Amino acid sequence: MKNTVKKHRLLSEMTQSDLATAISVSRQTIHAIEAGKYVPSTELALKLAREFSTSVENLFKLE
Amino acid sequence: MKTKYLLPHQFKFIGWVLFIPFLVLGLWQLFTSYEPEWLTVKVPAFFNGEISLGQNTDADTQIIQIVKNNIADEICAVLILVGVLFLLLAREVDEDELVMKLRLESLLWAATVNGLILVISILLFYDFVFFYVMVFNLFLLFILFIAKFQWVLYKFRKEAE
Repeated sequence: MKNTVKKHRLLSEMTQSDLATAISVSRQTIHAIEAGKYVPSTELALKLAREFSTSVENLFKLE
Repeated sequence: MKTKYLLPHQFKFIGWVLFIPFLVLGLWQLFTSYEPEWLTVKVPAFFNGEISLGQNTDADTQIIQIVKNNIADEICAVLILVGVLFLLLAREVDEDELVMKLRLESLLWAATVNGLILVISILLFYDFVFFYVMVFNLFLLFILFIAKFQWVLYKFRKEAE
């Protein structure tokens, strides 16, 4: 699974901590998602998509 | 994401305070057989005595009675288990779905390793030594879980620094 969370975060001029606070997870979890070490739940993926005003398909893609 | 069945984070501290001292005390008690006289009291017992399955029960066996027993080892065992349950169930400061995933993976790892140790113990230990191995095994699953979960959490936090 590939994701563009980091790209969207930087475009939104947010830090990992800002994003973590916005979707109620730890900064470490954002780090793990961006590094591709953790695939989030559907709920978290939808929250990320909502935060960046995009779709889940734009954020996550099957390799 | 809200996680079910977890206790407030403060229980982690209480868990350590119960687990470490009573583990040390319990081990010391096991190896020295020390039983303070004042802890010998009458307790309700569901079953007290010896039993061999498929044979007649020993004449001295007591079922659902009040018996005299030194409760030092029972106190230690119960408080160790309460301590590890608090450690197992206490919410982390940065609790979220990834921490829960790490917790469940650590529990799976601990159950697998514990199972393998049990198999080896059944094959290698006999008679009364096997009884002691089983006493250790009462706590081993939890101890393996705590060690694994703390290590994984440490690595997880360090990687994100």
